[in-house]
Amino acid sequence: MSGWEFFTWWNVGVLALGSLIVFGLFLRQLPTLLSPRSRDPEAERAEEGARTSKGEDQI
Amino acid sequence: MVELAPVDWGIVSAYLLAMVGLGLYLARLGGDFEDFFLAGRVLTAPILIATLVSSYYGIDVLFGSSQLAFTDGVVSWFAYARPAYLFFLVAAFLVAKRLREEDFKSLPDILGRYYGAGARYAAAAASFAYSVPALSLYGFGIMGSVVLGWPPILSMAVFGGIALLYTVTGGFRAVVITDSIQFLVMCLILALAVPYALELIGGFDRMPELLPPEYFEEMGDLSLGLILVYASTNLVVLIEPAFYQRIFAARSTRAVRNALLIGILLWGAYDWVITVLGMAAKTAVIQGAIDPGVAADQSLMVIMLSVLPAGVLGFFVAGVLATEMSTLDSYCLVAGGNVAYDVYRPLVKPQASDAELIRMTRIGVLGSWGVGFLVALSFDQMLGLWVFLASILISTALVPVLLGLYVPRWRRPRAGLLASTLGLSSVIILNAALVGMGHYSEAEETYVLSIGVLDGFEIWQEHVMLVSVPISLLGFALGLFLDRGKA
Repeated sequence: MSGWEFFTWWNVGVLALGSLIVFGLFLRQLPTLLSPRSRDPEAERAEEGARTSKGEDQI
Repeated sequence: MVELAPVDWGIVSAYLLAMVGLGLYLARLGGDFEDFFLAGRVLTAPILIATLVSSYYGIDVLFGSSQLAFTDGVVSWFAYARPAYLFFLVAAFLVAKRLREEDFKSLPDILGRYYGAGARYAAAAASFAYSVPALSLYGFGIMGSVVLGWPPILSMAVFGGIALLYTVTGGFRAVVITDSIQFLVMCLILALAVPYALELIGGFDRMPELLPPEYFEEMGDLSLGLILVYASTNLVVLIEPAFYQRIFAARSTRAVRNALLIGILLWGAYDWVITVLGMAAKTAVIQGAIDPGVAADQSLMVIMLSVLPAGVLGFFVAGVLATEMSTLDSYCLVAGGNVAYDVYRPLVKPQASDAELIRMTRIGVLGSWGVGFLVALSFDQMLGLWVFLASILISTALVPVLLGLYVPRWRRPRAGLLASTLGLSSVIILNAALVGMGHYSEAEETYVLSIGVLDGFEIWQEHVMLVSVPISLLGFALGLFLDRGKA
């Protein structure tokens, strides 16, 4: 298998698996997107700062 | 045109109905203007990846990149697509963090807050023009006529109308949810197409055997100057209004950075797969497996229609529609926001309620769609139009946005006003001169002006930015000088 061919299959894999994984994660987070918003921007910023300082992954 | 099997029609119809249904369902959720225009600023990395990738890549990339691969080979990926990834990296590590430090809602909002109303209106005009969905609607027309045999105006009205419907009713929340579904469809169908295309030509090895060696030269026969000119059009990434909208709508800076880094991987894979499919189409032409008279920009479509079986073909058609709908909806909404938030609110009704802003955004979305529809019917040279609109945005906003973001003491009203208005007016004047005095080159697909006294030196439409951006910079410097000493 040439380098070009390997690069092609690599990218096919990235595209197929990557899109499936991203879509799966999107489905898990869909309820957040659909829930009615009742938020306080200042409180959310503070919460975000706390999360970041704890090193929580926000993906 | 091809005969779609009933199962394919079923898949395409199900996809279209799902888009309409989602829009109508999401319209019931309600909310304030920030909900409608920024989905409540709750977007996480996966949602951002899906909406960024699908919005930025439309039919122009799908057919434009495959056209270049069909005629020139891997240079399509290395010289044309790859430079954009560098700008995405800059956006991920440098621009996103600064943009999120203040509570912006749109690109013109930045200029409005830093420099005042004049700069805001100039940026709103440039952003609206850039976001008019003429290219997307034109793409629907071509696709409908090639695949379905429909008159272009009917395809534009039907497919563009469906995207318009869910954008107007559901706002940004509908846009990002439909984008995520469209992202999956467009990525999966392209990945699935590769084995079918390679099977048609007898395997990957047929390409290096049958195509000229230049097809595998990374930079082809492009000069360094030309590569730089093409790369410079990617500057638009740094001030892309749809990108900015997503950065403002993100839950955190970290989510934006992760989304852009993973997005680069996906954009790269997407571009490479299109490149390989374009080269496979050329190989198939040489082998006589597909019509030798196929137009280069339709090569991807033709090879897909040749190799995909019933059932999969329906997903391909849905994938092409998804590719374009995800672009059209995003830019229509950006244009609507420009009308409501960047012009109507500051100019007509500063105390406008959220309900009024949402109504004006909807009117703006309808207006931008209508303008795009008329432009798509009136012009043929869509690539030239895109270069013109991108150069308008870059020349108007690049200098004042980036300098304003990074050098707070340079946020002087006349600096922003002169940079944006001189950039905007110079790019319009220069393009008008080029179109009026030059000619359209079919070979180069751009407007060209030959200067006889300079031994036939040619100025291309893509070169205009090399003049208009420095003019914008000079305007900024002049404004700083005029406003010197002011706090």
